[in-house]
Amino acid sequence: MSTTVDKVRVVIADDERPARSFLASILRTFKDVEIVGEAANGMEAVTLIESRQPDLALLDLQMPEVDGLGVVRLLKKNKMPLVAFVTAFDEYAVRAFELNAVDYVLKPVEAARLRQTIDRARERLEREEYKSEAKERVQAAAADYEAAGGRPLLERIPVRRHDEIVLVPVRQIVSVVADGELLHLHTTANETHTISYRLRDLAARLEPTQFVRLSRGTIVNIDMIRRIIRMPGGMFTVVLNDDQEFAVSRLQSRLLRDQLLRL
Amino acid sequence: MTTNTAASLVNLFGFITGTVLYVMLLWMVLTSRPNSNRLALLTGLLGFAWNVGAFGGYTLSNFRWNEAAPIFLAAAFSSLCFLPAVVVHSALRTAEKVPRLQYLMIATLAYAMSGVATLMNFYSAVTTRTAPSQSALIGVTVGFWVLLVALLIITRSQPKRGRVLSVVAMSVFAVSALHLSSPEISEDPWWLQLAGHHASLPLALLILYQDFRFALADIFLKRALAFILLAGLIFGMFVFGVTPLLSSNPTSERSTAVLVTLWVATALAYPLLRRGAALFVDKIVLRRGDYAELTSMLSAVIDRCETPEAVLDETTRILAPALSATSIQWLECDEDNRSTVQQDRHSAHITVPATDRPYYALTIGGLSGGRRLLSDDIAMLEHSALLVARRIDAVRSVEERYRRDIREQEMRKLAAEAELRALRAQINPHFLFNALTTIGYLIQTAPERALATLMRLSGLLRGVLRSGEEFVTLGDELDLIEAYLDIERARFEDRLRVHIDVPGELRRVRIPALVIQPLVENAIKHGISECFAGGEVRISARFVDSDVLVSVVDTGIGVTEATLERRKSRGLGLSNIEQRLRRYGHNETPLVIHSTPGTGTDVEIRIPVQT
Repeated sequence: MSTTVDKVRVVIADDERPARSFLASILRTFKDVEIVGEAANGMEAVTLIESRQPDLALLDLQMPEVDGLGVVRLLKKNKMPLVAFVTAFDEYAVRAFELNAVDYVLKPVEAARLRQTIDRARERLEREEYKSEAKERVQAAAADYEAAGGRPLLERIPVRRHDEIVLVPVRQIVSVVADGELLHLHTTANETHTISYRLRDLAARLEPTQFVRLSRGTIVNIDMIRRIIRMPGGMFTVVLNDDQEFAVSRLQSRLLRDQLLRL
Repeated sequence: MTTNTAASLVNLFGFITGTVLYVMLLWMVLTSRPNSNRLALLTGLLGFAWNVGAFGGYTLSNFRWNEAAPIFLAAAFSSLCFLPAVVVHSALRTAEKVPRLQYLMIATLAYAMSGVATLMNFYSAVTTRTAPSQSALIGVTVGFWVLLVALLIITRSQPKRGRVLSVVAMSVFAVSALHLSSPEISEDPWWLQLAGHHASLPLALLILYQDFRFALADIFLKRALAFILLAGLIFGMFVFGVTPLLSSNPTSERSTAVLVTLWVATALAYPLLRRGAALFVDKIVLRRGDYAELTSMLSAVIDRCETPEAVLDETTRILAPALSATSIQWLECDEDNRSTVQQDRHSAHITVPATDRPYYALTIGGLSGGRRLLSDDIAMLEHSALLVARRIDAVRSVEERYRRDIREQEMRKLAAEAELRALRAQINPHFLFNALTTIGYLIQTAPERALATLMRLSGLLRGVLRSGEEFVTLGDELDLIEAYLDIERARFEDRLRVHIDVPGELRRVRIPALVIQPLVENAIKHGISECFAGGEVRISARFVDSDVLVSVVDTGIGVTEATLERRKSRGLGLSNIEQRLRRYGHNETPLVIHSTPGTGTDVEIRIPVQT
């Protein structure tokens, strides 16, 4: 099925006002582009995108708390627009984008280059299947990026609660349980949040002395462990403060014994 | 006159040669061994006495002084009769595992026979005025032949018996021909005189050859051979040319001319004979090449080698054929025996006197033809070893210099790389492109500010790229920081607030360049820019003791200890600054960071003041 797009509706997100204005000023010179919203940070961007439902989101890669990739993670799947990232300089990110056919623009943004991005978006918009792949491709790029670059440890994890976005400090997380493509975070406030993240990537950005992996699908906060029960066959079961129980895999049992249970 | 004169000449020549040989033997025995072998000494003395005594005796008889001659001759012949006894004795001594009884029996028998012969000689001299006693000589000859056979049987399982027995046989030979010549001198033909009276010469030669081979070959053989050839030539000319000439027409002018011509020819022939003899000894007897040429070739070949191993390989390759050795090997050795040659029966070792460890030694094995190394060979070997050592030293020093050069190059490269990396870290590309974006925006909205920001950026880049200056004043550094902060302020607008508090007198203090700016950049990058609301950066400096304490405080997002550690171990700006400060100062912890998540970060550095 193919549709003709009249004007490309764009949302831009950058925490630096001059950069945002500069980008907007170029976009305004394009006759077939309509700026439907500007966001000064990632959380605003999520709200804005979900409410305005643009065709294309131009997201700055570097924003406080919720960066460009974070915005994509937080967006509801059915509200996902086409995405192009804007970055000043990040080799790892650029490589990950190219690998996964995710569009990106370098700062200072050049009009001709931005034109290409709009044209490409227009092309993709006319072919419905591209749109449905957008989120997967961005997520794959995000995963590659996390794996390649030395990304800083996470201090807070942005999560959705109903229609708002909450920053959960990592030390308040009791357990992380994988469920397909999603992760369920259980907090000390006895809430469960679901984020779109690979467990492997999240584990790499959690403080290694604070969190311990119990099995392929489980990470728990060490401070939240109440008891460790030895099971027949040398394996363990971990009981957390909130009475959650997790079986420890054979491999992780050995690591647990060597690292945690040593006097 | 013919026979008589020829015999006299042979005797004259033979006795002089014998005297010289035995004197040489005596001299060798006395000088070469500190604990000189008494029997060898006795051998030399007896041989010497025989030659001198017989010479004196025959000379006296020639002068018709017959009263003393027989006594002289008796003494001389007795010396010769004792010679085999002494040799047998020393043979017994050298031989191993000879039963005590047999040893005593044979030695006693030998000395007894010699003693009896001596008594008979003197008896004959006194009573019949003839010496030596013919029967005594025959008795000694027969007796010693028997002893020789006995020795052969006794020493049949001895490893070294050939050498010993040959000496004994030679000594027996020395006496065995004596009886052939008649007691009356001058009656036998010259060849019989030669065989009869000078059979002791081979003995001396053999002993010298076996025990003092180098000396024999070097000092004696060449010269002796030349002299023997000369003497032979003269003798031949005398017998076949001069004698017929003189007997036919002794006074004609022609014979005088011939004699003068022969005289001149003899004189001219001597150098040729000498060179021929040397060549003969070197090429035929010793079978060695031209050592001067050899060492120059060796030097040329090893000069092309680039490693000690190659030098040694080439050396062994060249030396092996020259020494007619079947194997020459080189090996590393620990001790440094300053170029001494050690040799045993089948091999020789020479140390290469290199300056440094490891030292090397050449082992020359399997010398063919029972060859032993003579002083020429040893001199050549020592010369070669020296050449090799010098070459190895040269190769090593070149290698060493080369290695040092490479190391230095590597160091320089590393330093340059580190510098470049440091510079790259300073001109954070992320900052640069964001600054340019900001300027792009300002061009559209406020061209004047755009120009000012552009100038700030240029100043900043110039300051950061400034090379070679490790130290700047604190004022210069702060100017740079202000340029930087101006740009960041344009970028973050009201999210960034800056407060700088540095007393004027501190601005003149000299500090390492770019130790504060990266801290300010970190404060913005990791503190302020991560914060929605932004924050304040506060820079202050003060004197503490003799150091300047600079603190950079931000009210940004702050970091946990773990993140801080992680950032430090990634080793970009912070560790660079810490290392440089540590190098210039005495403080082990010149950089202290306190950070509270959500509140901000406080970095304090202690900078040693450069006076």
